[in-house]
Amino acid sequence: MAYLPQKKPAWLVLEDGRVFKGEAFGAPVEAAGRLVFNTACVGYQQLLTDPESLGQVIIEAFPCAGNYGINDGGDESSHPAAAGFIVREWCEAPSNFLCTGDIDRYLREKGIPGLGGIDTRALVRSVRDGGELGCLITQTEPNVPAAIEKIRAFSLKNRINDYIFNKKYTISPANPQLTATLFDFGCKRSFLESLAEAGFSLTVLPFCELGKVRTEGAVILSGGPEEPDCFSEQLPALRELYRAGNPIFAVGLSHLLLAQALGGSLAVLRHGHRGSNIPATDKKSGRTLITTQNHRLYVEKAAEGEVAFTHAADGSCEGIRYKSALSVQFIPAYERGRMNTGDLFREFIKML
Amino acid sequence: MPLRDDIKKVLVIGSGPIVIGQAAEFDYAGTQACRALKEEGLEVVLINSNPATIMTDKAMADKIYIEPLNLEMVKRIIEVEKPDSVLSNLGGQTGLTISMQLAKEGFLAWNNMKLLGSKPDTIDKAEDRQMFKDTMQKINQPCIPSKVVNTVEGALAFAGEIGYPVIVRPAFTMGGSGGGIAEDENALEEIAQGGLRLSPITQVLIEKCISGWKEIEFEVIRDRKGNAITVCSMENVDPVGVHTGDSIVVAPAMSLSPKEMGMLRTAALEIVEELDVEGGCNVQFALHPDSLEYAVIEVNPRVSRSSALASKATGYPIAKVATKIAIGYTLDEIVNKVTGSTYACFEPAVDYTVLKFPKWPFDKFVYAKRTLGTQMKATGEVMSIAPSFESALMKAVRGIELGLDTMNLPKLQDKSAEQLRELLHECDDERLFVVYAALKTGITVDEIFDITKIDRLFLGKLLHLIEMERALENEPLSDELYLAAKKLGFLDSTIRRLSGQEIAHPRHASYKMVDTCAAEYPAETPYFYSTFDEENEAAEFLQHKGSSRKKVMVFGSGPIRIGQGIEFDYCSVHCVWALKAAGCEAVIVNNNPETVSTDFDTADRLYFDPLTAEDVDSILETEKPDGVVIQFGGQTAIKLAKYLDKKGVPILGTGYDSIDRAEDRERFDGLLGKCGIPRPAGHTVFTLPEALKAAQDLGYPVLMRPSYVLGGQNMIIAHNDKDIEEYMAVILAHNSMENPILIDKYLMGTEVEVDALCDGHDFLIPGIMEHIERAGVHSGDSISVYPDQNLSEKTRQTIIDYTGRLARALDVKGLVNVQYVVYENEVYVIEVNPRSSRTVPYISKVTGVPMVDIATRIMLGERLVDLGYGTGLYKNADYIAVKVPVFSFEKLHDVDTHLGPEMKSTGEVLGIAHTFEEALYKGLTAAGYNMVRTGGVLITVRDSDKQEVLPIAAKFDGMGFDIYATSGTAHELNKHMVAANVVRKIEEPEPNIMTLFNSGKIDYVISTSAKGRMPARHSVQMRRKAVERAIACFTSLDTANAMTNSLKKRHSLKDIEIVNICDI
Repeated sequence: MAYLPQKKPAWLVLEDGRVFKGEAFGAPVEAAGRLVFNTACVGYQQLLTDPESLGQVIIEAFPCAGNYGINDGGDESSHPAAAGFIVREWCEAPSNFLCTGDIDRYLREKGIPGLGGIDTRALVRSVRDGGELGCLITQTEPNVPAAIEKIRAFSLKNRINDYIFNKKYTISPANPQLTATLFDFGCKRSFLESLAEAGFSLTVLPFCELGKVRTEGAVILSGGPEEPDCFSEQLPALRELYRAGNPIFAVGLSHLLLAQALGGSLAVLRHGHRGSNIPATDKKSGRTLITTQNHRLYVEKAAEGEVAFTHAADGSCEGIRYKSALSVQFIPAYERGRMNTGDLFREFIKML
Repeated sequence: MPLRDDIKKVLVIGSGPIVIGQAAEFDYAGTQACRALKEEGLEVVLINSNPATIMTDKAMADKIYIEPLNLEMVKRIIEVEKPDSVLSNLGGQTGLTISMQLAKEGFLAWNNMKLLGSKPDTIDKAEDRQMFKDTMQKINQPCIPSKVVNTVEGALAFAGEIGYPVIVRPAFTMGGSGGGIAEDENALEEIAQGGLRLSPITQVLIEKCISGWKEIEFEVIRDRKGNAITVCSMENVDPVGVHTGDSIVVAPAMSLSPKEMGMLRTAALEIVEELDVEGGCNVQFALHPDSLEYAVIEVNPRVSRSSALASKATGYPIAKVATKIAIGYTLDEIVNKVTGSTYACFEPAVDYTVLKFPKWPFDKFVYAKRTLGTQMKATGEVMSIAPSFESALMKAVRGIELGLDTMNLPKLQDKSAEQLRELLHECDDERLFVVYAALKTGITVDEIFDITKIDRLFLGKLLHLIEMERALENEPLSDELYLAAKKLGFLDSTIRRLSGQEIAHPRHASYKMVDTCAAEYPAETPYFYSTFDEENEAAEFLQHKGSSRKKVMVFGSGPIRIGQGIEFDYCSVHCVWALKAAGCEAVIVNNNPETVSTDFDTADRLYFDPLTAEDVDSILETEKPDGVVIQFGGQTAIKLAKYLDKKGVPILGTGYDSIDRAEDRERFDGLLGKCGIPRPAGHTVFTLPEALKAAQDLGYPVLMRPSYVLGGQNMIIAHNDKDIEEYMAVILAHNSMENPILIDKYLMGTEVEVDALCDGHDFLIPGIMEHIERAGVHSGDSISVYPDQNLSEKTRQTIIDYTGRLARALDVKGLVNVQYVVYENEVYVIEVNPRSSRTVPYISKVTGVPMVDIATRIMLGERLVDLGYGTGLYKNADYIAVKVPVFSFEKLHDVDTHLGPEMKSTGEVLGIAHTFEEALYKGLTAAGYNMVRTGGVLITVRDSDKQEVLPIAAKFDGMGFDIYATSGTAHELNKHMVAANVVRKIEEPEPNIMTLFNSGKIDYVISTSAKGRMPARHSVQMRRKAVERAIACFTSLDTANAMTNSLKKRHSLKDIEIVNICDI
């Protein structure tokens, strides 16, 4: 009689031909995507459903995933976003009062394949040094050339087109103080919650509505999957909106798009900033905020506005202050206290 | 902004002697602080009474005062040195309290001194109960609801408001007596009534009982700009109710959801913002396990044991950064040396699990109460780093040196489920082992959770380990199963034992790096832990940094415990420094997070792993050192000797054979015979009948102890057969049958101790130490004087001669420690330890002979005669040094304070002066004695001491003390014209000794017993009561005598000389 559960094998194939064997969990499907790593020790549920994670095969650096299970209200969107999840170990007996199930079942439900039993630190080092390559997770022993073809065939653009951002709706908190229009490029739920807490009553429009009708008042541009090319059609509208003088708050992907729309250029970081400990220094106040980020592109040169925030280590642009807009690379949360990113909301509100 | 230029000379206040609750972690923090300050080109003046620390070392500071740590001495030193600032937050509670007093009195302002580190405002808001509550309320941080009441009705009303259960804490009673936890109205009525009656001011505090809530801590760092980061979160496996120092802790917290983590993290940051902390701060929360309700338990705005743990766990040097902040840097200006490319203003990310496991003194204090509560009892701890909780736990269990290699505790193996269920309710040091045994018998996770409130997450992981054990016991040992077992932390020897099978393809461990950033940035921190992955980052590192230098591996001394403490770390670190200075590459292996040796900055490489033979084997495979050093890691390192010898690893210095000759009784006897050196007669026995025969043969009293120990563990003086019976039972319970028990004739003479250096040919004795307490009191517990004061020249020469003969006969290369007893003008050897001892640090400092450095150079092949210190007995220093032991008895309930052959002290202080009396006075003061010259003395001694105590009593009488004594002693005193009031014994009706204690009339107690140890004995209880009331209690007439002589001299701190040891 076996005392240990039998584990089915699964494989990770990288674009450069390397193959890693591990244990299968989650959905028994094959998936291709971009291999990235994330250093946060909690928040896997958020990560897996955050539109920013679209098409990513995420390596969790922290060695045990799923300790507190899956929590109601932890999803950042109703769709699975990540393409795959790689861990050293996933927790089969999670424990937390908010826990409604374990991560294996969750990934199964979301159709996301998982790979366990991997030396994640070694894999992280290879991504750090070798770049975020394309990869494939599969539960059948892979034929490497065929796998590489599938990897090459993967395109985030295709995935974005399948992803649904076409809802139009309004959100009203208990005591609305302000109103704004939010253009949804792949907005995460917690950002909407932050805005509601900050007192905003929102009209949420899909991003493609930009420019179709004249928008009055404050505009909030959400984050989304990091593929600016997919949204190039919206750039002229963004430019117009800015020139018209609407107060704009742009976060994440939109920070990149706004900069591009105004003539700035983007570049790729050596390896993505993906974690909850990323330090961003406010050049005006000199204080450094600890932020949660998930991106690999950054604004190399801003044509307008002033670089407001920089990454404390590599100096890359983390935010820009424009005449009538505030844009940051990370998605801020409306938390209390001056040490967190809540002040950004307050700064934007002052602009109104 | 660069460093403030108005700071040039900083006074650093240390934390004093090692006691339970304030220990080695402050040596580590203090050393980092001194280094950080010196790096900036500042002058450092240090005051610390503890001679055993690395901090009080010439390499660390410019001026070092090993003086009593009190306000008076600090002020005098300030007046002499005129520093422009004082650093307050790196000397534990002691340093903080003194700094605050100086500030509040206006002394700092008067002397134009800046207060660096914690501000008085910050401290008040954190420590003053009411201010703390008010501050938390102001920022909406919930505290544990509590209210002070004076009536039962008031108690019931408040409990009605906050809900049951509640804790009742009566005001001004001792040790929590009169209080308790009330589960409902009826219980509260009863307990409150009792508490109010017992409280001298009829007052009790009613507090919501949150035991069972999760206990979560954050280490936070903030600078003057307001940048704040959390370095590390920690979760106590034992929920609220057990002091964090006594809890098993994981880092980062493992069972929290992002919501809870974010909530508490934000709370911690808000708290340090409100307190305006500049530096490090520890924040402790209680979190309800089934809701988002939480409360702030306490805030410590200084470095602490937790910050030492957090620093080692993440690689982020909190004390160093806190010091830089204190002198004006901001977090974004301080470079993170680990990556070289990032700054201190970021939060470390970890890709491994860290576990801390406390080391308790209960294996030594068998009669102590083992229950864990809000008062800390652990003397030290180990830390383990691994990719899984299970593996980290298994490493920790090996690391705490209880002889275990799994979570199976032998004494629980035969217990039934029912018995285990009962035991689960006990919260003591063995609880996690009880939980493991309970899970094995089939008691469910839910049931165990209900009783213990240990989170199911951890219980589930214990189940994993059990499943693996079952798999190993029942399944064929495939390569896959073997690897899975290795990844869960099982040793090969354990796997072989459980499975009864041979391992087809054994594997060595590979090593991963601690880099503060989970591999996000390339780092070259030479800080490694073992895993069973394919990739070996240590091997990679070695390839990269390949050096042709000679490589030496040093083994550390593991967790701090009574008998093997910080002195050994001093030696390990000095050895590493000496190796580096000699051009070698130094690699250190140790698993104690509180020490300087495990600062990755100390050696060229650090392996943070258990020190078992198998763990070390893998490190040797990767490193392949040219030699290893085992002389400085106490018994922990010496235990590796046999294995290293067998494996053929070159041991630098004294070899295995010599070590065995010193420890094996028969061989040792042979050695002494050859050298012509007498020793007290003795026998080696294994069983009770043998022991009785040996004792009768030698004639009582006799000394009994197991061999191969440190600190006189389980060493006892037996006066008759019954004693032998009782003590054999105790010894056999704790020692395997491999090691024999030694029974020696007890000679009641003067104890003398010598540390010597030898290169196999010549020898050097830096100094001879004489103990004030006669033989029978462990050397670690004795007041020790250098140079010797009362030995005749003939005795001295004999000792020098014997030492030389022993060192040569044992072919010592390095250090050797010899303990002698001088009895009726003859010199006898008691024991020889072919390794460094706990006296090495202080003797090195007061003689100016750098013992560890010399020993290391000898081990590398240099000759003693070439090293510039001569041979034979080194010249006496200008100063006299008195080392006084420090005890933590108030923390260990039911432990008899009576000194004996088994070591009990946790730390030591030093008094240095030109005369013996002054040095003694300083030492006693530094140790915490009040040195009052009037008041009352209680004397109650055993028959054999009644004559000897007379002159001592007379001295007290002469000084004007009121003498009280129990009937037998009083009779003798009065007969000899020393006026003594008779007082009834503690077991007799009042008014008795207790009444006397409670009246505050007693300042000193002299109490000796023929028997002690067992908590039930009245003499033991009486001594315990003295401890509880902080009344100095002397259990050796020699100590009492020294005290009276010192008191008579009428020294005072105002005019006693102060000594800067850097001048020595």
